[in-house]
Amino acid sequence: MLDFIYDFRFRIFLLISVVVLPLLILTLVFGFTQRKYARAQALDNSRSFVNVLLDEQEDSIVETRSLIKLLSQVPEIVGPNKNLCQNFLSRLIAENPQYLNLGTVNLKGDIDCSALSTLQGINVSDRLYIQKAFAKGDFSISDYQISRTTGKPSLNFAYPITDNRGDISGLFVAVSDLKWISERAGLSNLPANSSVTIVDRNAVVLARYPDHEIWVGREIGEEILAQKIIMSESGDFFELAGIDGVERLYLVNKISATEENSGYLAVGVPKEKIYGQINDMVLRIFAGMILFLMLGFVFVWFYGRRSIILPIEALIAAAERYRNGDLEARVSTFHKKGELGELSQTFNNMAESLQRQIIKIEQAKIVLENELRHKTELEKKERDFVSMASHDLQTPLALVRGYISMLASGKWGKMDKTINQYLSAALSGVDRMNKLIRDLLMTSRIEAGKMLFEKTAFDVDEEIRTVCTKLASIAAGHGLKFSFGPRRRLFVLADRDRFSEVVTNLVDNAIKYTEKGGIVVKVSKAGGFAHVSVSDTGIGIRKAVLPHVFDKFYFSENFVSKERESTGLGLYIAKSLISAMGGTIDVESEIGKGSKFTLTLPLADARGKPLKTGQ
Amino acid sequence: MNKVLLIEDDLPLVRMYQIVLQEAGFEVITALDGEEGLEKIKRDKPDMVLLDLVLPKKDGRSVLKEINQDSELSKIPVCCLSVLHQKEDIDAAKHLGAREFLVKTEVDPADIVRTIKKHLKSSPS
Repeated sequence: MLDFIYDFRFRIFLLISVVVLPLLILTLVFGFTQRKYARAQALDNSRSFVNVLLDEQEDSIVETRSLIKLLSQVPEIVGPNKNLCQNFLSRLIAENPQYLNLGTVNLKGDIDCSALSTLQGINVSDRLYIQKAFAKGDFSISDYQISRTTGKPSLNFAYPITDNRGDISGLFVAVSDLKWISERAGLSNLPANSSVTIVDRNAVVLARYPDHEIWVGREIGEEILAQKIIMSESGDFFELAGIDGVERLYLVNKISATEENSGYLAVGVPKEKIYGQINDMVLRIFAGMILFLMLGFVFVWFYGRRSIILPIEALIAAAERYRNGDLEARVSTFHKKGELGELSQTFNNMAESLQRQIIKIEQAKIVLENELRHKTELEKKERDFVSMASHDLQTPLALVRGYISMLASGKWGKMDKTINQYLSAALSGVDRMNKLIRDLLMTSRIEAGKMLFEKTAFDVDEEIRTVCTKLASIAAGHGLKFSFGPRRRLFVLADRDRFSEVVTNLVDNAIKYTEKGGIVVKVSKAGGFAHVSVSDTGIGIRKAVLPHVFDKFYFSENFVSKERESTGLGLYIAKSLISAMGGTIDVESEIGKGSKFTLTLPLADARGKPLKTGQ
Repeated sequence: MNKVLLIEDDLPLVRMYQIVLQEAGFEVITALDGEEGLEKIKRDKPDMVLLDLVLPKKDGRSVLKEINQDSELSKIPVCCLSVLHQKEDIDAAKHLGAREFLVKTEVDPADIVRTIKKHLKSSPS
């Protein structure tokens, strides 16, 4: 399911992402730092505005104090003529719009003379700043408030009027308009959409920039902004949505002119103006990087497919084809350069060299197979030839033998003694021929390695006694003494029939070449071998001839002096058979005294297990 | 008269054995190859079969095998008559059901007649 994470292109993309990620983090950190810095700047800006405002307020208080102190001594104002006073004040107010009203209050607290004539006679004795001015006999300032007489936000001032005796006869009152604060805000270099708000301690809006007229006089105590403003100390700041819903950074300052706190000034700068640029920048960097990543991904996807995936897939496909036996499979080396190009080239070279070697091996295999077939055929032909030849040679012999026997039987004509002798001679010639053919066949088989040996464990002495029974009587017929050595129980593991053939051959020879005396067949053991010796008292063999008696077709005038009955193969076959069964055959002889042939075969126990040497 | 089937591919030998066997008083049927021999065994039901081993078309061993596998034919005594003389050849033929094995180059015609008579005497017919 998650196999795509092994995709080469995915990994490259991951690498790119790993590079881009720190950049993103750096951008974020940079953004936060910039925001902090921008906020500090905004706050500084707001603070200087507040300070300017506070200074101006201070100035205006000082100015008002001087003004009303002066006016409280003007005779037209403090004189008995109320009309004169009113006219004077009306003119004055027209020239000084920062005042909402100017007037005098008598000792009862009634407005005696007022620039705004409609307010005349209203009792203001309950106002704290009036009471304070009477009590202290000095200048007093009201709270920030909505003026009850004018219905507008104002800061009121009172100054005692004294008569000739120096007694307080009333107060001069000035009602200054707070609207100037809003106007001043409008003129300031605060960012657009900034707000300046003044609320009294009851959360009634006394001034607001912008939209002064809309907000003034409203009680906004339910607004979180108002609650936060009232809870703040001077210099506190916070971010909040304003009463118009705009998110701002607010800086709060108390602005009371009196000792008791009565007004709060909140300067709000829109967050948009502070952070907007930075947010925009960070966002753009982010967007740029994401775009870069996406473009990178698309590039990696297509370019990676073309330059990496396709060549590798081509390699895999070629290797797969090669594996399935297509030795012609090669990678098309479209990209010759770079590691992949080299890899493709190397693969092709490897495939080429492998193909060459495989072809060589195949060719060699074909040659070898042909040779082997040829050799096998040759061998078979040769074998067939020898056995066919011996068969075909023996068949006419059988015919000759048959007819001679028929003639000798006398059934087809009378035979005299001489004819019978001749026939007998002919018959012995047939026998010799037959023996020669058989020996040749045997020799051919031995040399072709086609002799089969059926090995069994048997008692050598017992076997010899069985084989020699008939030979003993033949020996007796020749007037020879035939005897065995002492009876020994010795087991060998060998082919019993082949062994018998060899012993027969040796005894046969002994009889043939011995005129008088006798033949002794003896069995003994030595060095892990059974020894069988056939000794005669015959003519013996000359020393020079002795080493050659086991050679193929070896004849000697001495050896064959009696009758040329030997095929020249008997002893060669005997030696071959005994050697093939793990034994040896040897001869000792002395001219005129006789010969002794000794053959050996490895000893075994009665079950055919070989015995260790020396047992 | 006892019927003897001689299966032998060498014509001079066939002629010679024919002379000997007829002189001894047998009716002689001949076959020159293995297939003909097998046919004649089935058709003529001889009292004795003389079988050469090296034969054209079907060799003596195959003929022996088929005779041996047929419960009726296997009652007919078979004597192998061949120039093969190795013990392995003789053992193999005996194993396939041959009652006798005579080596052509070792026996006289009189031996063959004697062997046949020995088996005919012991057979019920």
